Formats: sequence, structure tokens, C-alpha cells
Amino acid sequence: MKSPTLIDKAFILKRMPPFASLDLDLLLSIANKLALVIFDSNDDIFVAGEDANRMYFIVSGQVHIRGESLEILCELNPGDFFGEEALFNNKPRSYAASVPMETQILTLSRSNLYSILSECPSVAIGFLQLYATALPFRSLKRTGLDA
Amino acid sequence: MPSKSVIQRIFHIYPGEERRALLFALLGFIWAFGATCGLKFADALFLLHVGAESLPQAYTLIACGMLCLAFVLLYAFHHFTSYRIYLTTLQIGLVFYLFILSCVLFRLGTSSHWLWFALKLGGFYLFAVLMTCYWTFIDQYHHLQDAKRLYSLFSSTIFLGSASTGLLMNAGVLDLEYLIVLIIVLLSLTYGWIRKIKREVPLVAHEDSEYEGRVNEDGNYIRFFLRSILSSRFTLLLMTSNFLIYLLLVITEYNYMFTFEAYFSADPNGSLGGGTEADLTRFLGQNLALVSIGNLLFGLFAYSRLIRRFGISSLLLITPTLLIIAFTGWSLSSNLLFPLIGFFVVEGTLYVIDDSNFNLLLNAVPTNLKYKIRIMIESFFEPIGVLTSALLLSFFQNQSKLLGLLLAVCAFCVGLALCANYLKALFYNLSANAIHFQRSIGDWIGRMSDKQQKIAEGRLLGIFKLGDDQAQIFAFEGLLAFEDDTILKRLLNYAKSSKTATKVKLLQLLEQSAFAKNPIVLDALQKWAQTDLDPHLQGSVSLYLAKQGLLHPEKILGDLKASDVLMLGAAIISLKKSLALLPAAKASHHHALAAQHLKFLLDSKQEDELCMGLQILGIEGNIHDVDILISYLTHPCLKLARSAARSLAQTQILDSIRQAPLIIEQLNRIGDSDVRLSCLKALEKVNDSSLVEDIISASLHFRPNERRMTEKVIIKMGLRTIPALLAITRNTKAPDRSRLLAGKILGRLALPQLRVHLSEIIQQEIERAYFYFYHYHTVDKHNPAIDTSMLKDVLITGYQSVLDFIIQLLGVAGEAEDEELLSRSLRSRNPKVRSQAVEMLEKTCETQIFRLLQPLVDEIPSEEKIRSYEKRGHSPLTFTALLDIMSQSSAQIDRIIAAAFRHRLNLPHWREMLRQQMSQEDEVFHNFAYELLDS
Repeated sequence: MKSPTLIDKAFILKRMPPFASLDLDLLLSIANKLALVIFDSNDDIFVAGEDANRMYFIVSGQVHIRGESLEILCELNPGDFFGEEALFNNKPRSYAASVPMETQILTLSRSNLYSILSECPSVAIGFLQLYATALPFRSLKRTGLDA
Repeated sequence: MPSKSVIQRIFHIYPGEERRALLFALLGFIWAFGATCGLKFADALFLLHVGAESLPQAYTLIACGMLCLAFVLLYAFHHFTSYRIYLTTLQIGLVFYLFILSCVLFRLGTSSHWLWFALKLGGFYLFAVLMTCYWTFIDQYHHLQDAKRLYSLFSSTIFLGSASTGLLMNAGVLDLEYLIVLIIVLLSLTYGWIRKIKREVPLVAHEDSEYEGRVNEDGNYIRFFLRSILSSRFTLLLMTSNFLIYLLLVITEYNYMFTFEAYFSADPNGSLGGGTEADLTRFLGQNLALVSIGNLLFGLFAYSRLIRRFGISSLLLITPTLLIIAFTGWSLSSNLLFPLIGFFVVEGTLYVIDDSNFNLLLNAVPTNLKYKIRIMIESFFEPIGVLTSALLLSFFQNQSKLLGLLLAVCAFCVGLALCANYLKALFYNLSANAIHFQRSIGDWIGRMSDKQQKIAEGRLLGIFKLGDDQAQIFAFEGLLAFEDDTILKRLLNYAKSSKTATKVKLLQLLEQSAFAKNPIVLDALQKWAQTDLDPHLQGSVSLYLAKQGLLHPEKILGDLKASDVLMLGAAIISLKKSLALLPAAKASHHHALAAQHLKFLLDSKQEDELCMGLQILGIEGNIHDVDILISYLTHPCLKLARSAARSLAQTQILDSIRQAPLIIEQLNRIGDSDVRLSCLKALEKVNDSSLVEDIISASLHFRPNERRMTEKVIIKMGLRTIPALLAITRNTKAPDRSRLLAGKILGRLALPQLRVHLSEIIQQEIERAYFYFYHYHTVDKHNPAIDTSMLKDVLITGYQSVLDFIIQLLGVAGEAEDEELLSRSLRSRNPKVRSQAVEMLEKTCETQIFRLLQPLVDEIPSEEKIRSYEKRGHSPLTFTALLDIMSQSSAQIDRIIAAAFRHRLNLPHWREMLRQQMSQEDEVFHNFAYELLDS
């Protein structure tokens, strides 16, 4: 599998909603800090309860997000990202992530994510917009659970 | 407990750290005892059962085996954790000795040579691999500052393990079977001990370098590894230094053995011996015993003290200097002193100083190379070094002392180069984790190799050809930054088929690029306008061409009546620029016409029309228009404010006495980053040093990129700003952020001036930092009846802010490339990063200042820091005195919290004091004060 160049990494970021508004120079600066990690089929990226230090951007392959009893909650595909919540709430991973096939993932460390948020407020707003969009779904889920 | 405190002081162990230090020290002793038992007894048994004549074969096998083992270890450390490798090595060791035990018990192969060969080789390999594993393993639990204090203690426990083996051999109390059982027990104990450490001691591993999967390193692993080594000068120097040390070890040993032998055989009646082999052995044994005791004492008590007092650089040159003295004297005199110095180096300083230095210096090697370099040096260089020195000695046998001298001089030079590069290497390691937001696209491209640039160009072209609108804009921006003429034509050709909205965006990018006036671009744009009849694109192209002065005023007169604002704007700009194309009378008529229509735009209630009007004002750059632009900077409509600010940034002239202060005043009220940046760009044209203070005051709440722009603006004003910058940096009443910005700019403009005043400024600030820290930790204890939680929050914030100020200013004065990185690293969650930042500080600032600062930045318990403050004659203030000091602070939050607590506790005369304070305060404080007074 061919590894992505700096331009490819910047382009992958550009496709991610929180980073979409950034200019190319900032994207390149951030892309330079993304490490490419390759997971073999059936590898665990992390398990629930693990300490969290990184967030992940899927380049190729697929990622299964699993609940406490390892049931598949959703499937993520290239262009999706995950694992950032635990970096914001400082709690251990609340779900597990594994790969059903060989998967290329770009990772960003917590310290770098925090630097980006402080330098580029638009990224923070991007995350907020994303969470705000997901909010009705969450409240519906809670109502459903209450019922 | 006094004995505990004595132990802490002797071994440099911090309170609370004793158990951890003991765990690692005992680990060092147990494994070293076990492994050296295996190694030394195997040597003796080999001589006994096989004979010295087979030693060369054994050495060859050891050297070849070590090389193979190095490859295995490199692979293993790349794929597995050091914990797993350590346990696996022990398991292999245990299986090996269990096998040997069964062979000995059942007399299998004891009469043949292979068993003793296996015992010797196995013992050697196990010792070498366990040594690498031990240091790699403990490195996961200690950072650089820990290493400086504790690694010599751990080295000493390894010496103790070896010494215990020596005692055991001397006593001769154990038979072979029992000895192997002892080795098995010791290795098993080590196994359990490692697991215990893993369970009980938290790692200080690097969050930025730990990945769950397989890290891809851009192509072939070996190539990546070699490229990483070659790109780190410090790593290359460290490897060279170690290789030279291995060469010197063999050459020195050869020379002193040769000299001792000659001395004893030539002096049969001398006081030192009787010319027999036994006397020579006794002489060597006595010296070895002395050096070993010296090693132990030095390792336990002196090394860490010397490192902490003089830094690692000073110890790097001891061995080469001693060897230069030894080889120089040796060549000139037959005195036994010089070979004895050589003996002392080989048996003493190489182990106790250079090995310990190596463990510390490894911290400055790039994180991704660290463990691999250890393996390279410990497993590859030793056999290669022995082989090379053997070859050198066979060629230069008669000039071996000269060879030694030359190599010692080389080692000295490499040592000097290591000292010079140590700081840079540490900084490189710290900055490897930092994001370089200040780099432009051009900077990134410039850092690529030719091949990478070609690949990047190809990728961007691919994205442009096949991508959607967003992708095309992304790729276009990137490709323009290459400033490659050959690619421009292709790019514009591809862009022909882009959507209209995309073309409009591409136009904006072209306008800001180096190709703005390129004929190919202008031609292509005209073709776009001819083929695509979308009014928005037509208007955008007209505006673009008008700005370049390429539209004839006569031909666009009709557009003055156009409903499209872009067309209208293009027409006004063309008319304004018509002086170059038409006779003066006609041009002046056109100017009047343009002014009339511009006024219409500026009076319009339509946002787009007003924006266009403001844009034209910027192009025109008339000094009177600047006033209009300034008045729009704080307009509630952000689009208008941005448009005005962008035009302001374009104007060529700015009145420094009247207009510049107005812009600075507006900067205080503007929250939008784009507007601020454009205003700062406008201020770049003002060359008036009297504005420095106002600009710096306005920058108090700026974002990082805005602060960088402010720096640029003031630096452009030149050396005349120095007195003002120095005054702000020294002014303790000014906010820390403003002082720091002034200090940073001063550092860039006139570093010597800053350094002259640095000590005085920093000492004051260290006092302040201690004040905040001390009272944060003690205010509760001394005022149990008061709820001080809010005050404590302010105190700790004040402490962090002052510490940031100190660190960054020291970074500026120490010519650190990125001083913010230094303070960010000190606040990092990762102890390894923090320890490297402390090391950088130690190297960049004066010893006297570092001594004062050290308790604050070192990872010692708070009680120790408090004690250090009390030792300097300070005692806790009364609550009222604390509030009095805070009300005089340069930080507004301190003054506010002091007023709030006086009000809350209803302290005498709080109202009078507050009113008095209000006379010197700003609007924020006034609003707050009125709330308190009204309550």
C-alpha cells in the first residue's frame, strides 16, 4: 500500500468537516504531524477503558466501532474520523475500535490537537458544529431509553 | 526520619521516590549478578575444559553472533515493547541455563567442547542483551532529569552485581550445578521483579511516539532508519564518539599491557615486582581493585553531583583529555604514570563516566531512533570496533602510541562537537512535536526535495483534474505556490472546464499569487470571460483586469450603468487609472465620473455595493480615504469591517500621527482575527517608534498568529524601538503578556541589550513566581476560616503566567528558535518532554539564574519548593497583607480578586481603597468595582 504524501495528508484533512475551513498552509502544518499507522485485519486500534492519547483519521480500509459487549455500533469508512471525544473529556475510551481488514489510519496526538484548537478557533467551532448536529439524535436516544 | 533524609541527599533521591529508586536499583543488582555469574564462570570453565588456544574461535563467534543479534534486536525493538523483549530474553536465558543444568547433571557433552563453547557464547550474549534491555526498560520510567540524578546509582548496582560475582568466584564455595541453579534463581527473580515494576510503577513514556499499530515510515524501513540517522548530526556525532571510544579502549589496553610487561621484565629487582608473571598479575589486580572501588564511589556519590553542577558537556571531555595526556607523556617518557593513566581510563572512566554519559546523551537523539542507536552502538560497534582496532594495530604496531594520540585528539574534537550540538539536538527533539503554524505553503515546498516536489506537483494536478470544486481550489492554491511557469498553462487549461463559482475562487487565488500579472493568466481570463457568459464570472474577470490596469476606460464607460456591482467596480477602477492611458483633460473627467459613482457606492445601503466602494478606496490609497476605511473597522457587519480592513492593508500611505493611533485604538475593540491581521498589515507601513507601547498594549488579547504579526510590524520599525521595548520589558506594572512580547522583539532586534538586563528582570519574576506558588499552597492552612478557592485559582494562574514569562524570556535570551515551544514543553503532560525543556533552560541561562529557577521547574514535591522559598527568609503573609500585594499586581485579575475579597470579608476601609484604586484602572475594573460598591 502506497503511503500518503504531505499533500495527500493535507487533502484528507481538508475533507474532514472540522478542518475544511483551514487554508492550505495550516493544513500542511497539521498534516506534517499526522503519523500513518497500518493496522492488519482484525487488529484492535483501542479497547474500551484504555487511556486515550490520539485521534484517528481513516485513509483506507474500514473501522468497526464496538460497544462494551463488542457489538458493532457502526462502521466507519475512509474520510471518517474518531477517537477525539476522549481527548476532550479526559476520560478513558468509552468504546472499542477494530479493523476488519488492513486499514491505513492517520493519527494526531492530544498535544497537537490542543495546539491546533488554540491556533485555529475555526477547528474548535467545526467540532462544536459536529456535536451540535448530533445532539437531536442524542436527546432522542435518551428519550427512547427513558421510555 | 533523619536517616531517610541522609539517604535521599546522598543518592539524590527526591522524597516519595525512594521505593521506586530501590526497585530499579535492586533490578540492576539482581540481573547483573545473575548474568555476570553466567559470563565469568563460563570464561573460567572455557579455559579449564577447552583451553586458551580456542579463544580466537570463541571471539570470532562472539563477534559474528553479536552482529546477527543486533539485527534481531533492531527488528524486535521496532515491533515489540522493551518490556516484552526483556521478559522474552530472560525466558530464553532461563531455558538455556536449564538445558545446561540438565547437561551437567546427566553428563551430556561435558567431555566435549561444544557445551563450554555454548556456555561461553550464551553467557556473553545474555549479558549483552540484558544490559541493552535493562537500560531501555528503565528509560521508559525515567526522564532526562531523573537520569541525571539516578542513572549513576543504577550503574553502581550493576557494578555491585559484578563485584558479587567476583567475590563468589574468589570464595569458590559453589559447585557448577549449584552455580547454574543460582543463575536460574537470579534470572527468575529478575523476571518476577520486572513484572512487579511494570505493575507498580507508572510509565513516563512519550504519548506522541506511542502508536497502537504498525507505524509506516515512508517506504523501506532500513532506508528510513539510515536517512533518520544521517539527518541528525548529533546522532552521527554520538555514534562516531562511541566508535572512537571502542577503538581507544583496545589500543590503550594493548599499549599499557605491552608497557607493563616490558617494565616488569626489564626491572626484575624493582619495588613493584620481581619480574614474574605473578607479580605483574598482582600489580594489575591491586590497581584493578583500587579502580573498581573508585568506580563504585564515583558512580554512587560523585557522577550525578558533577553532572548537576557542571552539566554533561564538562564530563564529555574527561576521557579524551586523559588519553591525550597519557599518549603524549607515554611517547616522551618511560614513566609508569602514563600507562597507569591509560589503565585508569580503560578500567575506570570509560565505564563510570562515558557509559553514564552515553545513557544521558541518548535523550538528545531523536525519539524514533533512540533505542535503535543504543542497539547499534552496543551490539554493532563493539565487535566492529575490536576488529578495526586489531587491524589498525597490525598495520601500525610500531606507532600504536601515536595512533592512540591521534584517535584521542579525534575523540576530543568529536566531544567538543557533541557539546556544541547537544542543545540544538534537545531543541530539535522538543520541536519535533510542535506544529509549525508560521510556515507558509512556500516554506513547505522549499523543504521538499526535488523528487518530493515533483511528486507533490503530480498529486496536486491529479487532485485538480479529478476532484470536485473544493478539491480544485485546494490543488490550485498548492500548485500556484510552486511558482512553476510550465505548470501554469496546464493548470489554466484544466480550469477551463471548472464550474463558474470555482473559477471565481481561482481568480481570487491568482490575484494573490506571483502570476497575478502573467500574460498567460491574463489571456486565459479573457478567454474564460468570452466563453463563459455567467455575469458573476464576467464581472470578476473585469474587476481583475481593471485592478491590473488592463481595461481601457473608454470601452467600459457603459458599465457605469451596470446593475452588477463587479462590473460597476471594474469600470470605476478603470476610470480612476485612466491617467496613464488618456490625455490629462479626459482623464480628469473620468476621475470626476469615477468619484461620483464611488460616492454612490459608499452611500449605498446595499452591503455588496458598500463593500465594493471600500475595496476601491483601498486600491486608490488616498490618505483621506483612509479615514473612511478606519471608520468601518468596528462596523457591526463583519463583511464590511473585513473589507475596510483589507483595503486599509493595501493603502500605501498612512498618517502615523493621526491615523495610526486611530487604528491601534480600534484594535482594542476588534475581535475578528482577519480584521486585526489586516490592521496590523496597515501598521507595517508606519515607521514611528512612538507607537510601540500602544501597539504592544493593544496586543494583550491577541491570538498567536496576531502576536506573530505584531512582532513583524515592530521589528520592521527598526532599532529606534529598542528603548521603548526595554522599558516595557522591565516595567513590572505592565501585563506579563505585553512585557513578554516586548522582550521577544527586543531579543530579535538587540539581544545584547536584553541580556544586560535579563538577570535583574528574571530575579524579580522568580520572586513573584515563588510568591504565587507559596501562597497557593499555604493560604488555606493559615486561613482555615475563609473559603479561598477562588483566590487559589487566581494564585496558581498567576504562578503559571509568571513562569511562562520567565521561561519564554530566557528562551529569547538563549536564542531558542521558538521560545513558546519551551514554555509549552514545560507544561506538557509528558514528563520526558518537560525534562528536556528543563535541560534546555539549564543550557541556555546563566548558572546563577538557573539555580534560583530550578526548584520551580524541577519535578520535586511541592513541599520541597515551599521549603526552598522559606529557606530564603520568606514567611507566610497575613491575609490582609496578601490582598494588599495582590491589589498592586500588574495582573488585572489579581487586583479584581483582591477587591472582591476585601468586600466579601468586609475588611476595614474597603470602599475607600476601591475608589482610590478605580482612579488608575480601566473600564473593565470600573464595571466590576461599581458592582461591588452597589451591592
